[in-house]
Amino acid sequence: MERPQLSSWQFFLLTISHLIGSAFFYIPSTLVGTSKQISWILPLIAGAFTIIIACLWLHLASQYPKHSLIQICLKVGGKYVGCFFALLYIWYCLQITSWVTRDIGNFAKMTLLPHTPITMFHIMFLLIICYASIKGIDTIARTNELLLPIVIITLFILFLLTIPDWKWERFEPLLPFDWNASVKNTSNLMAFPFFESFTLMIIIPYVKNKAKKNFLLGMGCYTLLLSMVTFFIIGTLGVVRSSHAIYPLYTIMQEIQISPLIEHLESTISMILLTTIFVKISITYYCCVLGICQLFQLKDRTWVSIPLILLVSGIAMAFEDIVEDVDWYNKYAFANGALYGIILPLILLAVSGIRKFSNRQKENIAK
Amino acid sequence: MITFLLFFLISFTICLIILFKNKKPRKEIILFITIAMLGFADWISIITRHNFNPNKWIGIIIDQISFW
Amino acid sequence: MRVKKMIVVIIVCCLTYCLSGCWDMVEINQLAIINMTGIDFDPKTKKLKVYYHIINPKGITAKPGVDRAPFYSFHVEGSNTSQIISKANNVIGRNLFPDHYQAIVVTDRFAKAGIKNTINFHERQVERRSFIHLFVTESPLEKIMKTYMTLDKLEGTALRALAENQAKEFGTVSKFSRMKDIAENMETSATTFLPIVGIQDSNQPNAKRYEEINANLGNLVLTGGAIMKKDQMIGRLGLSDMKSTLILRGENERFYNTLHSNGKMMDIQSINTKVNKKLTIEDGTPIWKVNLYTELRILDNNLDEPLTLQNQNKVKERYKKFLIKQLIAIYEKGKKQNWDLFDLEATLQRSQGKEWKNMHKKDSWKKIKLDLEVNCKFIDVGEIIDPYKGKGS
Repeated sequence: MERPQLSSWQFFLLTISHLIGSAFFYIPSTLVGTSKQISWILPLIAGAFTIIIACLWLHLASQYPKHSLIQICLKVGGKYVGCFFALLYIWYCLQITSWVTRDIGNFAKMTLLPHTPITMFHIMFLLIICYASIKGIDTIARTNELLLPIVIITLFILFLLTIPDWKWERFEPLLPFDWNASVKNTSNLMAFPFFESFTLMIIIPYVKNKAKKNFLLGMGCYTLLLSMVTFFIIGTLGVVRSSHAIYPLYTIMQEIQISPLIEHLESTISMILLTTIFVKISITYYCCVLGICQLFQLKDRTWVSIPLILLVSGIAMAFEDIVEDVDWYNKYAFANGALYGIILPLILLAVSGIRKFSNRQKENIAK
Repeated sequence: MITFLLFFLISFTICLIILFKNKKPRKEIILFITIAMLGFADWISIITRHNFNPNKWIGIIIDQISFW
Repeated sequence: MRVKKMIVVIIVCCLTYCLSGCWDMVEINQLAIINMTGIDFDPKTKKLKVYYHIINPKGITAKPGVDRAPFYSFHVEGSNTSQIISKANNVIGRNLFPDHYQAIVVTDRFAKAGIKNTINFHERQVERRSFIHLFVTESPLEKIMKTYMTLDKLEGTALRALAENQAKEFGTVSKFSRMKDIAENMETSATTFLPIVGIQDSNQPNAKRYEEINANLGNLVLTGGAIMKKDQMIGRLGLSDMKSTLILRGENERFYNTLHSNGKMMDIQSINTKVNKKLTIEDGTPIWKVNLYTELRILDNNLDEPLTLQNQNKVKERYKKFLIKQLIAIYEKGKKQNWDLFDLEATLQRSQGKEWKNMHKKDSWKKIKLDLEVNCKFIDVGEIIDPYKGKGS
């Protein structure tokens, strides 16, 4: 298999894109629903906690330089346990890919093309993503390098256009909010999207230099971006409406009115969502394919990528509708994410620590 | 159902022909067949309205663990 | 190589089947494009009567009044939304296309009964237009929905233009009377003001209006503002009260006033009005301090005195007093009628601290005293400083 090289800038952008995905479209509504006016603070808290946990991931990665997550699992856990851990991570990638695929399906069906079967969006999207994953991570990174700045600039221009709707009064009064729900929200937020970035550990060995710094920096930038988007949503749409809307950002763009002639700019935000989701699925799909290839020591990604379309599009249909999706997220997202983001990395670190310690002792005895 | 079966059979056969023609390693072929069969089974479960929902299973497992 | 190309072509052909156009194809001739909707609710029968103005594209391009109408008014009656939609499709025979509608008119009896269901239905639709204005009418809805406007061929477009122009230039319509504003205030104690429209001399509600030079006959006219609390209409204000309310709320940047002095008058336009509001508490009494700054333009001056700096200052003082009197009057009217016109209840709820502890009861806002200060300056006196002295001087 080829060994691609990612520049630190590319990896930084990939981290941001991977985190943006569909989260900044879905999350604010849930946040505002329970935490009202202070909801823009929650991403900052969740981000800060995740950055601390990310140091753990990076510490694990630094102990095995030039090794991907799957290879670390195999090296630490041995043939069987390591294989099981690796399979768990591959499943996690598959899960994320199918969730995000469903997100784009839900969005497109609900807002853009209501009569088109949801599977069509999934399959058409996955076909392009399959092609991207066959081409490799450097292709995805270069595409992202081109698209992400455009996305961010467009987003800021759109924000500027909605300034006439801004009201500071929307931040007060501080409506009574549910503390328990806010804590739960923060923990769910850590699981989706923050813990998902752990899958980037599969491609971290391909980064030329400053991978750790750029990973953390990307995470920090995304945290600020999500907080800003939530803040902006409260200011322009208000707590009441944004907590009721499924896609508050889309609603805002729908209501932009520059003049009676120029209105309804929601297609722009749809394009942004399609772009960010494309990059996110490409990365997770690639990680999934690469993980399988590394686990079974295959050289060609093509014949793993193709049948995965069938599997991912099938799993994407697991949730009946968005209500089930949101319910699952509220109940199990953190527990599910914590397994892959905290528990497994801790086990891997502990085992690798014990192994190193016993190796050292063996060496000492040998001396 | 019939459309899906036809589509799957045709594309699966084409892929297998290409795989064998290009003399791909056996491991690769087995993996291809396994993933394709998993996907096929999942889609059959969707078409027959006995949807396989892994998220539901994960939820049950998490519930059980938290119950203990 | 040729085989490979053939395979690619076949795959591409197969993929076109997946393209969205196959399912979400929209044929313009099969659409019933709605320009305006009117909704009435009969409390006795508990039934909704919905009117649709469906655009007739051929009529828009045709010479008005001759052979083709620019739109047709359909109506259906039913007790719920699904019934209305299915009945509408039975009558209209085309798919309703709400993406381009411009206004919604509801009757005052419906607004008084509460329009929650309509707002919820509207907000649930993906293709909704939340920035359109919502109107209330006290005239029979049938007459409102069965009239043609003169300059704008489409009634919805005309009503929207009326509301937007009034909000921008004359301040008798709140710029926050859109669908999204009322939805936002559904769960707070804030007040929304919806424009009330009526019909002038309703004897001619038909296409003959195009042949009549007197455009006032059968025309739609703005008559006041409906006070909406959550989704319910709790009262009405006349046009001048609406103007004063919106000035004090800080939503009205431009308005006209007339000063009278010794039988002579001066018309003044206020522009760039800025309002600073602050709620304080002094000796247990809550005081709403409002500082209003406005810039003045003389529109018409029939005063006998020449416009010296001294006289101008006198006019300024008179104008301040006039404005304060006008605004205090509407403030007191609101209190008397139990209308929280200035969202004082919400402002009180916002105020936290020991001294505000007893002020969080439901009717505490009525205890608030208004402390109003007006500042103004002349920025435009017109092309002539003093008026010409004619016979009457």
